[in-house]
Amino acid sequence: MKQVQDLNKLEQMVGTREKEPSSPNPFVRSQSLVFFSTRKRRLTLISFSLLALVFTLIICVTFGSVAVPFATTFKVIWNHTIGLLWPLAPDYTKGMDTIIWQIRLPRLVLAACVGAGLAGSGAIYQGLFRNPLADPYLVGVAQGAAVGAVAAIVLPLPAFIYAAGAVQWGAFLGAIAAVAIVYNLARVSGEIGNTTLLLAGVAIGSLGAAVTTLLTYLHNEKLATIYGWLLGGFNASGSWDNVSMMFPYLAIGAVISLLAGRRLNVLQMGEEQAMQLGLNVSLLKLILVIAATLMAAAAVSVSGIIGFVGLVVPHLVRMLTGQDYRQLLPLSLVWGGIFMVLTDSIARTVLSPAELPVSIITAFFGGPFFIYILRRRRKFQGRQA
Amino acid sequence: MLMRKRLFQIWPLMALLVMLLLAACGDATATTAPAAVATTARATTAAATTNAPTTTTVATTTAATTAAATTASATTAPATTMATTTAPATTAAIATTAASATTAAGKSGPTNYPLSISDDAKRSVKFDKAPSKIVSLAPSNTELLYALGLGDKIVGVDEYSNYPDDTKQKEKVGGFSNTNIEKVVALNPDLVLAAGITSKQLLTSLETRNLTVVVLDPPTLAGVAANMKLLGQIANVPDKAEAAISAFQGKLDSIAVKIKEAKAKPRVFYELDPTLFTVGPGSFIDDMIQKAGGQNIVTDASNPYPQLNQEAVVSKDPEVILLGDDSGGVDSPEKILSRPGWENISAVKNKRITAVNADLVNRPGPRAALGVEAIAKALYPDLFK
Repeated sequence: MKQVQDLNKLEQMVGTREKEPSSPNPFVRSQSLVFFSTRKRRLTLISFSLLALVFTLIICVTFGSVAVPFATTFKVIWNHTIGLLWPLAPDYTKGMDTIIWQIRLPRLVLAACVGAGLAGSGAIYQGLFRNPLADPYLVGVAQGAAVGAVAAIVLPLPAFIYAAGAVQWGAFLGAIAAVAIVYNLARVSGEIGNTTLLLAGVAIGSLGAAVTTLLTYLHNEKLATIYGWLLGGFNASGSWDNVSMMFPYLAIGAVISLLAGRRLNVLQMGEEQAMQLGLNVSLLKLILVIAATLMAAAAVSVSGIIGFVGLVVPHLVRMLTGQDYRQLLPLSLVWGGIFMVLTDSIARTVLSPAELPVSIITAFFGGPFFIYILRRRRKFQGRQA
Repeated sequence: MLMRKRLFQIWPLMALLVMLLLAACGDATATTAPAAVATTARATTAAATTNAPTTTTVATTTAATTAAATTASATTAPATTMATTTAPATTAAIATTAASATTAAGKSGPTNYPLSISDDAKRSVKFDKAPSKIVSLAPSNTELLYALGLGDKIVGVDEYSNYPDDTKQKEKVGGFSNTNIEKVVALNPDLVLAAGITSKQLLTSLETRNLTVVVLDPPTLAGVAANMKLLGQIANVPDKAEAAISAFQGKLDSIAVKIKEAKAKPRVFYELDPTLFTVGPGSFIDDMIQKAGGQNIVTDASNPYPQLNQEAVVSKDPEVILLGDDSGGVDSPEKILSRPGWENISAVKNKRITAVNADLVNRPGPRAALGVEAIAKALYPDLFK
């Protein structure tokens, strides 16, 4: 109870800070108009974003490599969901049904989940380390997953292990192992230093990259498979199986990030102040690292390595809606999903019937947009000062 | 106490190293996935995407094209009449076809040195005498040399050359990306046979050391025959070249005769890896599929090795699925059978999924004719009993 009161007090303190001139570092402190949002504004924003996600999914499911009329798309989805109770007459072919329900929709939903997982974990890492460059890949998730997946591809494992999804589990466990190593290395006399953790992440990341390169080099005969996995994407992985594999981790991460928003706000004041206010910083760190890592590892294991989303989406949300982690975390999740659904829709249609790797699109569109927002904000602040 | 703690922090690292070691051992001892099975075509896919300018996929010499054209015209004409003739007459016809093909392609007498030729990379190369020490930089080249009876002239081969067995005794000069230039120079060859997979950098560095380099990169099966002739000319073994060409062409012709009986050409999807990279027009394997009487479902693609959208595969409904790697592991016919959304594809319904021998289909050498036969067997099991 005491802790909660302290947190409220601190929030008030931070609220008054808003009136001071903004810091020269555009990321660290209040750069948006409103640092702390009201509850009503927050709920409105989140529900509008969720609506936007649903709207994006509806729009994107109607186009793809194979042309399917909107009415048919609607009927197929209806018949597989609400239509189980009140079915509509299926006046479409079995092929259309397969394409919409087994291929296109699960792919879009998986893209949304992966985008949400990457962006959500990026937002958590950025808040946790108070570092604008933090993202899931900086603490070794990508390289760990790559080592696990490539090892699973090249090792002569028995067939039943491959049937059970060896590559996926290799990636998932590899990612978690990498973060566990980084976390252990960064622990100096019971505390986790931010700089130590990021440096350990970079070190383990390059070690992982070296191992991946070595395994690829030794097994040239599996080059195409390795390359295909490293490129990432949802072409082959978009299935309901993968959605149900990914969803629990995303749900855990989402619930934890909803609960942790206020504590992360307090943590932005600095670790010592937060500790003085009664926040158990090391426990918070442990829980958040686990949550973020599970989300990112699950995302990477189903999609391969898709860069940029974990770094940029949280920043876009931050620049547009403010620093308050109580809304930043849920909004990052939702907008990460929207961003990924849109980019994947470009990836699967622009060269149709061929595919374009989605990681190229995320960087291609996300990069310039990010720079645009960054410049616009700076200009705006400049005029204000 | 301190020691124990350190040990604890280091164990994941050690685990990583052990994993690495295991993978390295797997490379040396594995019987299921031999390291030596290099796949020229698939490696080219990756190379073409990573450093586009270094690989020339569609390069034909004027000599090769003319030879190809004459071979093709010489073979198609009798082939149409062959369908109606009886078996012994057919063999006779094939023999004449092969003979006419070689004679039509030009002079087949002993070579007059100095000889000036133009290779598949449109480089012109001069020979003062027949080469006596040859280094081969690709398995297809090694097989070609043996087919022409030039095996005893080989002083060095790349590490993926594994056919015929005699190759094992030859000096190894490294893989595709890591050719040991020192070793090549030390062997003092008077001919280095490079391939499409050989990088431009390597070519240049071999040339600056005054080595005679010929690039063999046949874009089609006809190009293989043209290369046999070219090599016969260079090494002054025209008779051997003629014999090799007639064996090669004879095999192709006998396949052409058999598939004449078929009513319709089955639609084929050729899977290179589980993320659905495939072969399109302009690739060597596409030519093999056509010669085997198949109809590639990829007819329009921006590059010879596109990644196909899953919806497109389902809607084009292939009747046969070929897997370009029979070494098992990540991708296998069983995995394709259980892919969600694929159960309505004809090939999956009728269980017509075949993994083809990677060494036969991925090497544009003399055994490519056997590769065509393997594909034809998968397409027309009734005609090839």
